Formats: sequence, structure tokens, C-alpha cells
Amino acid sequence: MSAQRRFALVLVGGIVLSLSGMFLGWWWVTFATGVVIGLALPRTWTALAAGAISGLVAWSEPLIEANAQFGLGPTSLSIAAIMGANGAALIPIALTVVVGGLLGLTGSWLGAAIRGVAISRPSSRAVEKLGDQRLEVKDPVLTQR
Amino acid sequence: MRIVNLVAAVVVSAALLYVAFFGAGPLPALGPAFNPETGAWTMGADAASYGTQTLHLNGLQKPAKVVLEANGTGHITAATDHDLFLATGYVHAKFRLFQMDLLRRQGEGRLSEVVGRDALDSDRFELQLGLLRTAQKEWEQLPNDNPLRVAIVAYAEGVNDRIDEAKRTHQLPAMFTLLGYEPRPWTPIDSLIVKGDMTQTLNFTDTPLVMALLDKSLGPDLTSEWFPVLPPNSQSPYDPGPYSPRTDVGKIAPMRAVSDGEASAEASLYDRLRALPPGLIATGGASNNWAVARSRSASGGSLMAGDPHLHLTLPAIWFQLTMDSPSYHVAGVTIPGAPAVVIGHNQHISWSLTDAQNQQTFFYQEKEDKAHPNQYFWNGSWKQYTTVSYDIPVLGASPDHLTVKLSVHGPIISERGLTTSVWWAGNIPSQDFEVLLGLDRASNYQEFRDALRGWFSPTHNFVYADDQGNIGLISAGYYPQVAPGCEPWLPMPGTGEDDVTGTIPYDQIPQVYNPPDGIVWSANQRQVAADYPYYIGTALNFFDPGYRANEILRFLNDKLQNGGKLTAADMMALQTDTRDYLAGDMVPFLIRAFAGQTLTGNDKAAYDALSNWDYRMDKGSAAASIWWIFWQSYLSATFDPWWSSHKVKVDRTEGGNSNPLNDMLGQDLEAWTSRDPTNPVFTLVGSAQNADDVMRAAFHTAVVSLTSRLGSDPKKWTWGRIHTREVDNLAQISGLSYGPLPDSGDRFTPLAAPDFPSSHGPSWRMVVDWGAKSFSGIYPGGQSENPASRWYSNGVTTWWNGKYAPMLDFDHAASSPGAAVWSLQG
Repeated sequence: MSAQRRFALVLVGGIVLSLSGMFLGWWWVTFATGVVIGLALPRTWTALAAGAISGLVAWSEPLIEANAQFGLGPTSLSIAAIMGANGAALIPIALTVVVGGLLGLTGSWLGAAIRGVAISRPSSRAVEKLGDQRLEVKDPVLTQR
Repeated sequence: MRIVNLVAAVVVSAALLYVAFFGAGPLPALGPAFNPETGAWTMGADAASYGTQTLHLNGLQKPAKVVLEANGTGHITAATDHDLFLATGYVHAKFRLFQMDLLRRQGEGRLSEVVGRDALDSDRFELQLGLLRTAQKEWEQLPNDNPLRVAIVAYAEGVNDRIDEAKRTHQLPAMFTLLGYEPRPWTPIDSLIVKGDMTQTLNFTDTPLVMALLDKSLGPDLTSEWFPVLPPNSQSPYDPGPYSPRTDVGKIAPMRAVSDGEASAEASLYDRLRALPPGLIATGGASNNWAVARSRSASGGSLMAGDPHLHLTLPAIWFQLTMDSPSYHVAGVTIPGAPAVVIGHNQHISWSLTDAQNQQTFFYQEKEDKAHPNQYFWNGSWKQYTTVSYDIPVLGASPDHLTVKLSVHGPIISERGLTTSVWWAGNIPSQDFEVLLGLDRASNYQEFRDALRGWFSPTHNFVYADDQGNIGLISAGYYPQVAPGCEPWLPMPGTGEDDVTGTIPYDQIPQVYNPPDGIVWSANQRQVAADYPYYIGTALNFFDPGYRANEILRFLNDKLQNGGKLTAADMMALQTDTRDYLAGDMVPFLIRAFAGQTLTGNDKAAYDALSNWDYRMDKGSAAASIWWIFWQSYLSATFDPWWSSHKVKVDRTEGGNSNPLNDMLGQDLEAWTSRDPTNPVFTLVGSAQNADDVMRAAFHTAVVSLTSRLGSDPKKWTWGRIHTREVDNLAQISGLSYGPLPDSGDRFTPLAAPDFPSSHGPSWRMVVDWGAKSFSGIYPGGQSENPASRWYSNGVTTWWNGKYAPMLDFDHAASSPGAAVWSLQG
């Protein structure tokens, strides 16, 4: 499976998983999904991007849908007022998307970090220098040993 | 390096998850709050969910229907009474669940559980006072087959149907999500608590404590003179007598002197009560109602108008509803949490209410002795206090333990210095909902009056009009009596001699039915004349100064002159009348005080403005500002020197010059100005010798003040620049409030608008014309507590402009443009 395809699959799966969790009130699934993404994608930066995007999309999609159905304006203005930001309708929207993105990003960071440590546990100094790129493609760590 | 990376990721993740799960500082728990599927955003979906639909409610016996007019007004029709109440509970909870939860939490002392220690004082006080204990007793006293029991059980079922549905569909009101809790199931006791909240707000007073502090500082003689039992000014009692004689009436005794120890203890308790959140202590009341008999009405049927004045909030205290079932055909306003129409009409009668203001709160100083720990001396022997313990859950802290001691008089609410208990009529178990349901069903005055026999507290002036042209007014409730020689206006000894001995017999409480002049009216004024043979409270016990009642009477009599007839339009005009009766009474004296004097500059311009004024507190009127500032200045000039020289510890101007104390002093000042201008009260003011001297000085001070505040051009001193009105968000979120905006009226006008800004006033206006069979009503709010809903504040503008909406019956509502129909299935 190509890296791009794997990335796309993981991303779409992450979004679906995250959305499903949120529908049940399990917002933390976005974070958990991020962790899984971090574990599943071998390149750290790719994992971080996928985690963040999955969180952003998953937390944006319901807003877009709600806006199409009945308009988000009054709701957003109300939440802004509750936050003490009268009239600033964009703030709750931005905050929501940022929270989703951060949950996905942080989760994927944690996942990637765990993966990095887990995989490097039997490592030598030389192996560490190889970095994530070599680890990802052919599992060169094991090959070299 | 990877370990460092992992540690960093763990730390950042932990921090983010903590904030997302629990919030931080002012931030709510971000995860649940902003989850677009189930968090605060769902208020949008809720606001869009009011359309025609079929709903399934557990417990419904037969299909029922709810119609929601385009403006949100609700109409329920059910095949059984049980289903009517169940559907009412569901509809209330659908639109007002968070408000209902707040109301029950306030009365049950459970606010701290969701907002933390900030609410602990309120919770401790409520549990001491005992709304919860009273509600529990009321519930225990209800027989199983009592119709009220059936009603409030069904009502609770309906509320719980909605709670379950909201949880299942993640549609709980956003405030639950933001505060991070879910409502527990509704119980019948919760409904009884909501009733208790209203009783407390309208009726629990600290007046005897105020009187004790005044007595201590001003002395008993001045206090007796300035704060008498009977009002010093001219008022318009609606029940002028003649009265049935009472043989055991006692002469009002001269006031005793309060000791240092008493004063210290009362000051401590007074400070504690004053520090409580607004609404827990009744500090004033203002409502209007009146009725016009068929003989005085242009339509040939009786007329009735009512506008209860309360704190104006979004969501409002009222929810407008029509309720139809085999036993009920009633329309009007309900209180979310309660299953009855409180003010409204049915097919034959209409009614509204104002607060009667009589004394229902008495303080007792319990006699204790170290040799008798945990006991008090009463009726010749030592008695053990009863104790009740509570653990108040507190958000973010361990539960707060509270032990409440109870004497025969009631709960001990202070043990600082002296042990003070409180006897409050609101603590007497009473089935007020049963009374309200009786009113909802009544078809004539006899049934109406009989139903009110069971009404104890708060005492209300219930106005009545029916489809046969009859009118009436009865001030139903308890009027506690103590033995002759006792001083109920002060804290009394708790040893037994001063105990409440009973109440005025129902047949002798203030009431009129079809009076010869064809009109009845009440506006919180003292209902009876000076020769009424029972004590009902002092003039300080927050009876209104009488200006609104006088103005209502003046307006009605003006219209009726020369055989004139009144119309529903007149009723509406009177409800928004801005004429200040006190100004009409006092300004001529002020004008006269300047006779022969030469005025210049702004003093002259202000004088001219007042000379040509119609006494209307319109927002565009400069004279209105000049009058109001003058009157406050006149009060200050007269009384501040006394307050200062006698070190009076009660704030005369607490609440922005709108409190019972200032109102009482205003009555004195009005009476002295017109009838006793050389009263010694004026001699403490500089070199002044009489009222005219003080008025002239106060007028100049007012002009200087206005010039400084509003500029040098008196024409621009319009009332609306000083006086604004707002409708507060119930959760005190300013961005969700309405206003403040300039508005007309003041504390004394029928269009009541006390305070600056004013957030108190006509909370519901209703006008009934039985001749034309027309019913109109409006309240300053909307049916939904959801700020994203089109029904959050849609009634405010209509109300603000003095307009009304027709109160439709179910069939007309169902066919009205934009109506939605909910089919309820079991």
C-alpha cells in the first residue's frame, strides 16, 4: 500500500471514527483517534498532519451541516454572548474547530511519540540516527541489525 | 530524545485533556461544551425542532395535541386531566428545563452543587428558612386520591419524559453542558419548591430588623412618628368599609426602646440578609389590577386588567399556555415547574393578582440559658430545639455541613449575640396549587372565593371579573395576629406571650364584590381604611405608598365622569400610563415655594419646565428628570442630616432610592409638605425653617446636579438619558439580556419602572373584555429559554411598545398562520 493511500485511508477512518464518537457525546474519541493515527502512520509529520486534519474536519463537518440546515448565526452569537464576546459570532466557530484540531493533533503526537519509543527500544546509537524516514519504508532498523 | 518527545507529548496531552474534560478558570470543559454534535451548538438544533411532529410520551393515557402559535404561545388539549398535566410538564421542560432546574435548586439549597462556593450563602439560608421542609410536609399531607396529587405526579412524569428525551437525543439545554451537569429527575416536591420560591420572593421580609435598627438609632419616638402603622399620606383603599366590629382589637402600643444587645444582634442578622442574592428577601412589590363592572363598560360586559410587576428576565418567569381537558378550559400564564394557570381566564371568569404586602414575617428572640444547653424557654418551661442536618454538595469542594435548629416559632436564622428565630407564613404547609386549580375551574364568584379560602401565602389581591358582568377583589391569605400589646413590627420575645395566635377570619379579610361605584382596583396599597379593626402591618411593611393606586383611581374616575364608559383600549392605556401621581401632588407646592422669588439661568428654565408639565414620566420629557432629581434631592436634604447625626445604620438609598424605607420617608415628606410644612424635621437642614426653604435648596441642588450630569441645556435633560430599562438574562449573561434602552415611567407610575436601569416592571399584561369576549396579553420575553430560538425574546418589542397579542383559544390557535401542531402519543 502506498504511503499516500495509507495516509488517505487512515485520515478518512479517523474522521469517521471521530464523528461517530462525537455523535455519542464521546468527544474524546477525536483524541483517541489521533493516538491511533500516530501509531499507524510511520512518519511523524505525516501523522501529525493527519491527526490535526481529522480533528478539524470532524469538528467542522457538523457545523457546516447545521449551518446548511438552519443557519449557525443565532447559535454562534448566543455562545459568543455566553463567553462574554458579544457579537463575535466567529469566535465560537473558530474555538470549536481549534479544539477539534488540537485534540487530533495532540493525540497523533502522543501516538507517534509512543511508536517512536516502542520501535526504538532495542536500538543502538547508530540506529537512532537513521530517523523515522528509514524506519517507515522498509523497517530498515531490523534489516540493518 | 524520543523519551523527551514522549514526555512532552504526554504532558501536553494531559493538559489539553484536563481542560477538555474539566475546564480551567472561566473556561468550561471544552470537550463536551464545544462538541458540535452534543454540546452548546445543539441549541441551534433545538431551536429548529419546534415544527409540526409526532412525539411519544411515556405515561400518556390517550392521544393529546399541542399547538404552538407562530409567536410560541402554547395550547394543550388532552382527553384526560392526567394527560393535560403530563403534557404541560413536557411542554414546560421542552422550553424551560434549565430555568426549572435553577428554581428548584434555589429553593432546595442545591445551587452550590453546580456553581460552587459562591452560592453557599444562598443555599445555607434557604435550608435554614425551610422551603424544602415545607414542600416535603405539603407532599406528605396530600391524600393519595387528591386531584392535586394526581396533577403534580402527572406533571412530573411529563417533565421526566422530556429530560429522558433530551438526554437520549443530546438536546439538553446548553447551560447544562456548559456547567457540566445533567438534571436529575423531576419530583412533585420540586413543583412545591418552585411555589415556595415565589412565596419567598414576594413575601419574606426583614422589616422588623430594619425597624429595630431605626428604633435604636433614631429613638422610639421618632421611629414611631416616621414609620407608623397607618400611612401618613392620602391613599385609596379599595375596601373602605364599613367593617365588622372586632372586640379584642388592641390599641397600637408606643414603640419600646431597643437595647444595645438587641440592636447589635439585629444589625448582624440584617447585614447577613442584605448580603444574600437579590430575590431571596422581599424588599418591595409593585403590581396593578382593576376591574370594571358591566354598568361602567362600553361593551356591556365587565372589564378586567392585570399586570403583576416582577423582576423582568429572559427567560421570563411566565410561560403562556392554554390548557384544555374535561375539567379545565383555562388560558393565561403558568410558572415553569408548576402545573396551573396562575393568572388568566376560563370560559366564565378571569382573574389577576397583586401582592397584598401585609406582614407575614415575624422575628422572635429566643430566651436561652447556659444551664439549659440547646434549649429555649417557652410558655413557662425549657424546650429542646429540634435539629435538622444537611450536607450541601459544593462543586469543587467537600460538602458543607449545616445543622438547622427549630423552635416553636420556626428556624433559628441567627445566633450572633441573640438567638433569633423567624415565624414566616410561607413555612406553613398549604396546598396553593389546589387553590390555583380551583380558580382554573371556577365558574362564578362563589366558587372563586371558596377556592381562595385555602390560600395562605403570599397574601395576594385577587381581582375578579366574569361573563355575567360581576367584579370583585379579595386579598386572600393569612393575616397573622398577635396578642394586644405585642409589637410585631419589632423582633419580639420568644417566651410565648408574643406568639402568633391566629389569623383574621376569612370573611373579615379585605374584600369587595360588585361595589356600588362599579370599579375595584389594587396596586399594593393598603387595602383598608384607618378604622379597619385588625393589624395587617405597618406602613413600612412595604405597602406601596399608594401613588399607583391613586393614579389608577383618578384615571378611571376621569373617564367615567359625565356618564362615560370604559373600554378595553382604556385598560391598555392605563397599563402604560406614565403619569406620576406624587409629582402631580407635590410639584404645585414646589411652584408655590418660589412665589415672589426671582430665578435665573437654569434654575429659571427648570422651573418653567415644571410649571408647564403634565406630570408624565415620558422618556422625552426634561421636566420628568427635573422632578425626579428634585424629589431625591428633597429627600436627601431632609433626612440625610438626621441619618448622619443619629448614625443610622440602615441605608436609606439602598436599591437606588427604591426601597420600602425611602418610600415610607417619601410618604412622610409628602404629608408634611402639604399639611405640616413647619414640622421639626426640616430644622436640621442648614438654616431652613420649613418645607419651602428645604424645597428651594433641593431644587437648586437638583439643577446643579443635572447641569453637571447632562449638560447646560435643560431642554436636553430628557428622562430617557437618565432612565433606562433592561430585561436581564436569568443567568446574568449581559450579552443575552435585552437593553438597557431609554424608557418611560418610574417607580410610582402605573407603567412601573423602578431603579436605574430598571429591570423590574409589568411581567405580564392582560386585558379582558367580557362584553366583546376579547382576551389580550403580552409578556416581555419569549416562550423559550434557548437564546438561539426565535422565541427567546420575541415578545419584548411588542410589550415595550405597549401592544398586546390576542389570547386565542385552541381552535383559533390551530388555524392561525404559522402554527405548529405536536401530536402526542402514548
